[in-house]
Amino acid sequence: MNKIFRNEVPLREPRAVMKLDRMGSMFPTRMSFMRTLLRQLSEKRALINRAVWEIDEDGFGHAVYTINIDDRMYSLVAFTNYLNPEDRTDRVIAEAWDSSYVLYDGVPEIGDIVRLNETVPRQEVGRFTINELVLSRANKSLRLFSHVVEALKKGNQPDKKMVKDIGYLMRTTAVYGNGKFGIADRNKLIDRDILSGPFMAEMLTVWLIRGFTHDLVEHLGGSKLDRNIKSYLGVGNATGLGMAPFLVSHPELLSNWMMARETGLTRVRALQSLTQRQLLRITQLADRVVIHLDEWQVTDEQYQRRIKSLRIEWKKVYENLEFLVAEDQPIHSLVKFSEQFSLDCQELVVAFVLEPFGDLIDGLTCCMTSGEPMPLNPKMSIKELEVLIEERFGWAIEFDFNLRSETAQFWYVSEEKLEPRLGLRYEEQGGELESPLDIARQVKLLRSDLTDNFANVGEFLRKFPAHRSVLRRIQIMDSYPYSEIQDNMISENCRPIDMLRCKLAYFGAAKFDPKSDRWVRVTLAQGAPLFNELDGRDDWWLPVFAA
Amino acid sequence: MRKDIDYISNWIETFIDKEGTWPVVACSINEMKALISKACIGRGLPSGHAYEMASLASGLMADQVMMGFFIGALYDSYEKPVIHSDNKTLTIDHARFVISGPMAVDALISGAERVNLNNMPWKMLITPLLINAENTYKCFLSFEIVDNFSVILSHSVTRVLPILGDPKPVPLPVIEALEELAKNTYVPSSDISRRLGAGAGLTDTD
Repeated sequence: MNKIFRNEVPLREPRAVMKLDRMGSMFPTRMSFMRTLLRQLSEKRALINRAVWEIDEDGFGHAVYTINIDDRMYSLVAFTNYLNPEDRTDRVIAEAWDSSYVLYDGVPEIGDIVRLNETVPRQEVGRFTINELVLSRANKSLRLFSHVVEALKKGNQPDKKMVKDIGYLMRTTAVYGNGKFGIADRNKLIDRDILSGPFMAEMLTVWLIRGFTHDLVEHLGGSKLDRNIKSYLGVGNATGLGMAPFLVSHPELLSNWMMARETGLTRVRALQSLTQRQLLRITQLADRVVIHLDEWQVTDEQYQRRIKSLRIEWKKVYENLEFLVAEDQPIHSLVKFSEQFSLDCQELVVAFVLEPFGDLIDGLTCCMTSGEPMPLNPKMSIKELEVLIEERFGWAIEFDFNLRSETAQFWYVSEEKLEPRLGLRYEEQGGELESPLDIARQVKLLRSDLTDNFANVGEFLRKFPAHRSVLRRIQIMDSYPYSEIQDNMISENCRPIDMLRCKLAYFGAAKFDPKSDRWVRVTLAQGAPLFNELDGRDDWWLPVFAA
Repeated sequence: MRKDIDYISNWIETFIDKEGTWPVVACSINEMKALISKACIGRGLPSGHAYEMASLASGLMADQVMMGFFIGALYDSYEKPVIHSDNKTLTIDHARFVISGPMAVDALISGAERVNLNNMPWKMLITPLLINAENTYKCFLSFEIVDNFSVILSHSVTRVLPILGDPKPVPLPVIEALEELAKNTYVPSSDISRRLGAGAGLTDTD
């Protein structure tokens, strides 16, 4: 795909990278969005101010945090209220929460707070304005929140094992941006420097929520949390299928995320040798990986087996590290060495080798956004289209959609909650209303209708308008090589959790804790700088418990 | 009955009569794109055409009456378009905006000198269509209405199309009409979908 210069290592092929099982093995990197956000806030020495704290002795009320970024003010407005236990669920379909939040563009006046107090706790049922950038809500961890408060009330610190095992005080159950329920379109942020990057406003919201949860337990407990415990307490997130179709419906954006990371990987693989300082850094990080993997415990038996295998494989990487990094092109050698192991281990090594080389790769994060979607090119000849399909979509042609196993599932939107779902085609009703995530099948259908009778694709589409959507995607692939998940999304083997993990890894989440093949818990901002720690430190990849 | 031509004629008549008195909702462009796309698919349009119609959201939102006309075009009866073309001209008889509009733009961008859209109601929607095409393909386009139901689209050497204003709040009847069609894309819940569809069971707490 790319020309190989001296010492240069080619990009990994999309046909290898864009497989669901590999995407479902990804780890956060220093290019992940939360990490990028906090690095940039730190560079700008952003200051956070708790401007309003109207929280009562039971922990209910509202608070406002302001942050100044590039001479613009943003505010997290947080509301907490009593939640009836029977209303408590972390599913997106819930209708009440312990806390709700909005990221406000500017500093809200009292009238704004009164208005937001009416609407924000109602979430999807409320209507919002272009002054609101992000909408979110979170529930307390029943396991940890009260324990921390009670410990602080007694002048103690919370139990370290519980903190280590759980890792958050609250879990968000949705973080909405880009125009949802009337909030501002993403285009409003296009010239906002830091916040113009992908999901930056959402990540800022989550990070501010994390700080609010720290303040809330200290307020209720009447004493301070130990700094290291506080640092380890991130924000939990429960993510289901709603997130999965995003990667399919934003092909250019997905490609840019992948391209930036893969380009970063080629840069570090091309390094001819390492300095002593870099070698020391790699050793330190390798030690951290061991601890992180040890701390990563899940209840899902299959996933726990994967983690156990990963620990064993990482030990082998660790044992060979000294020799591998002494070779010419040491990072390349290390990556090649990892190819004998599982995808989990291979992707862990990718994230690992990116970490010490911020000077080489951090600048690539500005390429991870995307502008307007690429339009259809109706002038393309049929011959060009055929070549494109052969070169880029061979993976799609290989599936046999006459097999029930290859069409066993279908994506749809549920009438009850207007949320994406995945159904079993031959057991459930509604297959005729499926959402068009069956890209491979669509490519194959289009190809079967191609003939030389058309001057160009515009003419072809006048005869076959049903192929318009997938034809544009095929053209996108010509410019955005990582734009397609190269798997059959309706196969019985399709596991949505792979998509969720990929996207969440890009967000910066770690400690993936699946509750089914389509539902996962994670922790965000664990180990991240606290409000008063935006001082240039940028060393919290794969957080470990340090207390 | 909603798809019936009489229904939509009455809907439009009421919509126009009540201009300026409808309740309106301040919607984001992205929200309207998503709703238009769902409504188009619910109307039975191919997803690619739904995408093209959704991309008109910003332009449509600049004119509240235009939004009503779009509803008219979306609910209108469909006839299979009859298409003729030679090297320079594409002619579509029984043209319907939501299907023939993107085809017309494709033809102009592919080199056709003009496109004739015959028997096409809701021809005022050509303005946001061509403005969107100009912005997308970086070209200048124009159109001429030759009689009540026919429009000629062609290239222009300068910008002649009007500038659309900023998006305005959307009339509630428009939202309701779009939601009515969007409902056709939703799958009713069943016991199995409630249990397995989202993958989390009926509850999930921590």
